Amino acid sequence: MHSLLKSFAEWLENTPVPLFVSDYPWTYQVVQFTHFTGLSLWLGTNIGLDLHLLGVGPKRKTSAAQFLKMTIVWNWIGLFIAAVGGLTLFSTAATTFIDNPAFETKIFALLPIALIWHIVVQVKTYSWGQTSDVPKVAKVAGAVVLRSDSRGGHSLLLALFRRKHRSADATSISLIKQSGPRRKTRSSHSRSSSF
Amino acid sequence: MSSYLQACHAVQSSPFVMWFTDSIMISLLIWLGHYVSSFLTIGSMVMIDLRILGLTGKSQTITETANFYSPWMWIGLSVVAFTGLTMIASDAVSFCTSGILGVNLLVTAVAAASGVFIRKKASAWDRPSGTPLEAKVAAGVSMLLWLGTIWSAVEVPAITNVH
Repeated sequence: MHSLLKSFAEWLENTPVPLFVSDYPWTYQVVQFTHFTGLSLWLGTNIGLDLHLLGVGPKRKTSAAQFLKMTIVWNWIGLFIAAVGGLTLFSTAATTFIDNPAFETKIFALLPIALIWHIVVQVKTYSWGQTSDVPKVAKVAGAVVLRSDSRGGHSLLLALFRRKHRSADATSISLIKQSGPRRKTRSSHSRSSSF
Repeated sequence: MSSYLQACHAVQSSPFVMWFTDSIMISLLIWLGHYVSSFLTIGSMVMIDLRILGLTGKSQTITETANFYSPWMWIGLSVVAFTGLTMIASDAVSFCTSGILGVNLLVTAVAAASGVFIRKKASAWDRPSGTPLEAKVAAGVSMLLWLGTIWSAVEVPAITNVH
């Protein structure tokens, strides 16, 4: 399975988009900026819904269901932007990320679970959040989503691994700047992506 | 200049800073807190700005939206400031000589000031005739400033090589 992922990662690293990003180092910041912007928008809308479900904050005229109706489009736009940025970040050093157990945990375990839970809460909110009297199960669900929204597991694990191997990390930007002309095959090198 | 660098070095070498720098778990928590609170701050402010621009939440007034999100913006900003200062202290010599960090701090401060301005004006902008143009301009500028904080924040590790 890992060899299959590795082959896919090697193929992905040599597609036009990551090669373009590697050849023009400033584009990496653009991609990171995109990823963070999407995350900010996604988290902002998520927190609003979770706080509505929890009943935290000042009294509101709108119910959780109404709030969800207002923000659901922006929520998914934020996630889409974050996903596009994240996929591009991944593709620039795919073979390195594949070897990172923290990243594998994030993508194959934490992210799918959090996403499924997120969708369940959104679907259920239409029945839970019709009035300001939110059932207890909805409050628990909101609290769980709030926790998963922090992406604590993602960055914690990823950073733990990176910190442990800090001495072996090559600075990605300096590597990019030192890289020569575009080449077909790429050796794996670490990246300074944040997640 | 040398006394400034000496001061930065003294901060970096202080027992307290050395203690949390040497602790992987505390460093991770600081780092995690900084990122999450950044998203919380920017996400909250962007939601207020989108409401003022009329792009979301029209069944809520601007005042209601601002009342809802503003506390979370300030909570996020407080955590960002605290964790940011500890992160700066851990590599004070590198960060204190970084122009881009100065830009990041300045843009963040101006963005926060725009948040205060919008919060104060929110109730005046709730008009039966609709949101005034000045409000939309302010919201647009605020969004650009917050996007600017993201951009400059991304530049900090890229240029300082401190992660």
